[in-house]
Amino acid sequence: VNSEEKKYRQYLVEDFIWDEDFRGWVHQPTDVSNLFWSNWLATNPDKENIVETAKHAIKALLVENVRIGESEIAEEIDQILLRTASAGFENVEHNVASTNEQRHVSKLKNRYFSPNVFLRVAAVFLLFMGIGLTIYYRGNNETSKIATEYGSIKKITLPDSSTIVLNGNSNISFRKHWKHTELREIWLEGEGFFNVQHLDKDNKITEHERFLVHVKDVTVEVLGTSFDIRSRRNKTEIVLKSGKIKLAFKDKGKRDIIMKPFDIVSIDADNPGHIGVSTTQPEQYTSWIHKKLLLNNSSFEEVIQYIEDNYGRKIVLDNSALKSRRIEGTIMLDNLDDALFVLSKVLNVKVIKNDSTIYFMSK
Amino acid sequence: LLEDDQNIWQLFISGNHSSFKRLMETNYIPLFNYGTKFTHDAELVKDSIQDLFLNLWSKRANISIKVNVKAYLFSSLRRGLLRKISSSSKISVYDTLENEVSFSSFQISIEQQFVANESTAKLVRKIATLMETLPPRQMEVIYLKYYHNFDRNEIAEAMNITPQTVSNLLQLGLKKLKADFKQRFNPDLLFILLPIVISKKFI
Repeated sequence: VNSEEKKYRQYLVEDFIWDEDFRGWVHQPTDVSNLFWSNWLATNPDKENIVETAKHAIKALLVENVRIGESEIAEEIDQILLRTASAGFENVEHNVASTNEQRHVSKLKNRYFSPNVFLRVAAVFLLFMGIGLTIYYRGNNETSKIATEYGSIKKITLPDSSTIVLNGNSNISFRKHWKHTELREIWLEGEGFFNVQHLDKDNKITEHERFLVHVKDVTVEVLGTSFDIRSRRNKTEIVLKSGKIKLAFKDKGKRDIIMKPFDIVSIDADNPGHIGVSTTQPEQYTSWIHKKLLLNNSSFEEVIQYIEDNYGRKIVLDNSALKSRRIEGTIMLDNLDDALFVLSKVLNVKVIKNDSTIYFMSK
Repeated sequence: LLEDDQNIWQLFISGNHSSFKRLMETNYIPLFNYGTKFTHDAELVKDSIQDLFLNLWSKRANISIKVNVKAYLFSSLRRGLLRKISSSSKISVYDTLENEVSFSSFQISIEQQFVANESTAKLVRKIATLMETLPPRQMEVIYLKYYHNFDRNEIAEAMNITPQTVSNLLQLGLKKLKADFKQRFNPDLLFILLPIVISKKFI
C-alpha cells in the first residue's frame, strides 16, 4: 500500500486519468476505494486540485457532444415504434404507449384483425392514412414549451437546428412543427442565448428566413446571428454578439432599433420613456453559458439579482452599503456554494444560508 | 444503471412495447455517437440504427435474455453499418471490410457541453486531439473504454475480437497516447494548473 501511495505522489493529471484504480474509484466508488482516496488526500492535500481535475475529466469524457437534435431522435424512435406496432399483428397484448399515434394504431388494429390477407393490407393502408392525418392535424397548432429549473442550464436545438442555451428559471415556447414557408417564432421568459441558423442565401428575405423572439415588451428579429436576451423582473437587456438584429417594440410609438455587434439595448418597464443603447463586452453577458459569471467592475447588487433570478434564493444583507461594493473577476457557477464562498472571501463577510434565503453578514 | 438496462431488456424480450421504447431512448445517443465515428453520413447511421431496432423487435423471441445490452447493441450496429458502408462503395469484398472502412472520423467538440471548468475542458480537448492520431482499431478500443466506460469483454464483443486482442490494442494505444501526451502537453501543463493555483491563492 505504501508504494501505491508513493506512486500517486508523482502523478500528473493525465496519469490519474489513465490509472485503472483511480478510474474505478471515480466510476464506481466502493467503501475500500473511498477510504483509500480520502486517506490519501488527507496526507497529500496539495494534490487535491489535480485529483479534482482528473475526476472531472474522466466524467467529462463520458459526455460526448451530440450531433443530433432531441426532436430528431424522438422522430426516429416514433417511426420505429409505428413500424413495429403495425407489423406485430399476432402480438395483441403489447402496452398501449403514451402517444396519440399509438393509441390510434392499437384501436385500428383490433377492429381490422382478421385472417384475411386483403383486409390486413387494407388495414395497414388505412392505419397509415389515419396516422398521417392525425400527425397533420396535430402538427398545425401544437406548441412545445421547455423550461429550466432554478440553477440549471439547458441547450435546446430547434427544428431548424438553431440553438438556444436557456439559463435557469427561464422558459421558451414555440410551434412544434416548423413549415418551410412560415416564419420562425419563439416566445421567451427569462434569459437565453440564441445562435440562429442563417437561411438567407440570396439577400432577398422571404418569410421563412425570418426568426422572431418575443419577450414581454419587445420582439427581436434575427437574420442569422448570436445574441443574449435577459428579460428579468421589469428589465430586458439584449446583447448582440455577432450578426444583425432588429428590435420592434410592443409600444408602436417607439421606432425600431437595428443593433450592431457589441451593442447592448436595455429596456426598463418602470421607465418606459428611456431606451438605453450603448456598447459592451458581450462575454460579460454570455459567460453564464460556460457556467461562469464575468464581473467587470460590477456592483454586488447585480450579482445578488443574478443569483436570485437564476437560483431562486432570496438574498438578505445586514448592511445595505454592501450593495454598491464593486467586484472584478470571474466566478465559477458550477456550484452555488462555491460561488458564495468566493463572494464571502472577496467581500469579507460571513454567509449563512437556509433553503430559501442567503444572508450576508458583515464580520 | 446497468441493472436498469438489463431490466428493460428482459421486459423488451417478453414483448413489452414501452420497454422497447425505453431501450431505444436510453441507447440512441450512444449508438449514434459510435456510428458517426465510422462515417460522416448521419442519415446512414440513422438508417442503420433503425434497421438494428426493427430487426431486434422482430427477432426478440430468439435473443438471449442474458446478453450485455450495450455491447450487444454496439456490435449489431457496427456489423450492420460496416456492411452498408462497404456495399455502397465500389469494392465489396467482405473479407477486406476492416481495411476498407474503419473507425476513423474521431471528432469531439467540447464547446457545446458544460464541463466543470476551462482546465478540464482543455484536458479533454487535448485527449481528443491526440486520439485522432491513433490507428483506427486502437482508437476504437480507447474510445469505447474511456468514452463509454466499456470493460475488456464488452469491447471484445462490440468489435467482435478476442479479449486478448483488446488488451493488446489498448496497451499499444495507451502507450502512444501517454508518450504523445508527455511530449506535446507538458509545456502546456503550466497553463492548466496555473489558474487553479491562482484561484486557490485568492481564496
